Amino acid sequence: MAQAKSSILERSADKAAALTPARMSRSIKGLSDRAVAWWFIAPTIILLLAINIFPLIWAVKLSFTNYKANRLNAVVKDVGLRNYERILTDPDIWLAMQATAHFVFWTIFLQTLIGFALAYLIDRKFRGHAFWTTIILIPMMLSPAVVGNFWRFLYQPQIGLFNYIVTFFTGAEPSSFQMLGSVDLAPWAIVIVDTWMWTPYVMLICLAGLRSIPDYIYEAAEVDRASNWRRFWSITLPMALPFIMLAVLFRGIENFKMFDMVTLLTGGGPGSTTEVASITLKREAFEKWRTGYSSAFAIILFVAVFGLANIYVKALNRVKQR
Amino acid sequence: MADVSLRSVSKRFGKVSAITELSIDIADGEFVVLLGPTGAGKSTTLRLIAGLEKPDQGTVFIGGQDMTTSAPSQRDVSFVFQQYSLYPHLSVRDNLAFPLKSPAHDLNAVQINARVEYVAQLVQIDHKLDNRSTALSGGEMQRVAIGRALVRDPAIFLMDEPLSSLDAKLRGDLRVELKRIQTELGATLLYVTHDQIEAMTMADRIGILNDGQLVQLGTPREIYENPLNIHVAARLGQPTINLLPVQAIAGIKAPDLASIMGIRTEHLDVMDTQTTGTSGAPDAIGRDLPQSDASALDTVAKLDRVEFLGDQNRLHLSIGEHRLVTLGDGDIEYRVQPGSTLHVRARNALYFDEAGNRV
Repeated sequence: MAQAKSSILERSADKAAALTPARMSRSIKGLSDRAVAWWFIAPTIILLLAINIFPLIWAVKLSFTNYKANRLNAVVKDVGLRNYERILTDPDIWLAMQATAHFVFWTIFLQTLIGFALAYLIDRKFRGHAFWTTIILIPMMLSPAVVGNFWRFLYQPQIGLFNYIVTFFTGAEPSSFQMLGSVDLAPWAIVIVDTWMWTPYVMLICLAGLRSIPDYIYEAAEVDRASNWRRFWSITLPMALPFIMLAVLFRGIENFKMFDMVTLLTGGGPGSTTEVASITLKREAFEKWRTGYSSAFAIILFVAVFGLANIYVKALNRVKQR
Repeated sequence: MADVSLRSVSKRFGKVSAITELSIDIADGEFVVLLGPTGAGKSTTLRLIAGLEKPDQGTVFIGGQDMTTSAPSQRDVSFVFQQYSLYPHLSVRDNLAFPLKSPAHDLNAVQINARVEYVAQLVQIDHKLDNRSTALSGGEMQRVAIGRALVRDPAIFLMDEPLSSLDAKLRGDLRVELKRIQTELGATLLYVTHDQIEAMTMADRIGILNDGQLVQLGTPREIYENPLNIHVAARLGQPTINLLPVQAIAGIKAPDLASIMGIRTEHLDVMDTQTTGTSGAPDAIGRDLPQSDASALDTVAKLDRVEFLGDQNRLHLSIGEHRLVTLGDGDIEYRVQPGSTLHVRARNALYFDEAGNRV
């Protein structure tokens, strides 16, 4: 039987070989396997070098100069580390970093908490769970531009649904508070929108984690007389932890460079309360045209994210190996 | 430890009936093996006792108490799963300690540790206590799984083909080990397998399951020597029992209702016809030649093939179109060649009617 099977396979391989156009087979024959492999990945590598690596190196170079992109004829001076020095001592930059940290921390906290809870519920496989999964995923599928404009309407003090709902539950006047206009509320308004949009994504990853735990592990725990609570703490959570950590990593990197939603909702205001790092960066680079200065800032951000992500991935690998 | 009884238990999965009207009594301290082909309902029976499945009908008694609707944690059973089912993120030590950390056991850390070390020695895994449970070989994982069951003192141990994924040598070692541990602890143990050697060597009693029904329950010897039907007869014995239609072969004298004759390989004696012819005294190939039953087979067969197994040979014979297998000495191929004609004679034949039931 096995012999018959293999001979059929061989025959079809021969057929496929015979059907390959002579021109193609000849030109492939002229190259080694390694050379063919290089040809296949060359376009990607060239593209990557051209639009990622080269600009990065160029930005590093610019960060040591006083170059301004809107004054092409001005003399470019080498300023050494002055840009870096000024950034790290600039109180406005530190405010932006604080706004970013606030945003990143709370979005990750809420998204992980709610996302995992939703995944845990969906994983119960109740009637219609597939339908509800799809419904929950909808916000994630929308474009940030749509979501941003959509929530500006929801947050509208007079006619916005959000204010109306808050009124319904608390009795406060709808126009007595402005989610996007108030210094205290605006940072939270953005956290709410990002959480609304990206919790489904975290849920999906957590769900994959929960589904990866085989049923017989739970059966073994049940026979071993572990309570529901203990089953959750000593099996569900530790076994899903690598997935949860992965979701946190993705959302963390993504939100560290958050730009679109903040621009659409508040544009960094009121004042500079929601001005996260990438908004500051954009202002410095394309409104004040301090190209050298903003390059230095970009490099600092890059190193920070890269460093944090690396430490985090090491921790993730340790958890996975456990 | 406790006794366990099932009273006419039935279980269906959708349209498939897994268990039909199954009743079985397992005495305190008894080692019962359920033997049957895939899909016979062996695992379902275990899962019903553990409470991982609820029966559609019938009652499950553990230690005299009706446990039919109780949750697994209330039943005080321990289960060894076929797929090991170790907790992959825990060390061997934590895996073994897991059942002891239930509030049902009021043990402190020192007592738990002592118990874990004792069991680890019992299943010979004490040198790897601090390994991650996923960094073990298959045999080691299975020993941890067995250890995790043994660490408690449950009403009954349930084991679902615990040795089936191991290599032959380890299976043999663990088989002996498991029987020793069970005797030492005086444990009640229900063990599921499709391996007849495991069943024969370990069981106090064997239950033969087929199509969700308990066909026969008895000691290994009872089951082997006195099978109730063809299915049971064919389940035990290596090579399997030879089955011949009574009418098909001239010279068979059988009881009236018998339509099939079953001859175990050790009851099928072979003689070289040449030797019989010249000396008049039959020269037995294999073993001493006793008198044949008056009713049994006594005819001539062709030797098709000899399988050399070292200590013995398997002889493949044919009588007309019917094939038989018997055993011979390890050096038999020096005396007879494939293609030669042999005289065969049967003793202690078993007879079955058309439905396959014993006559």
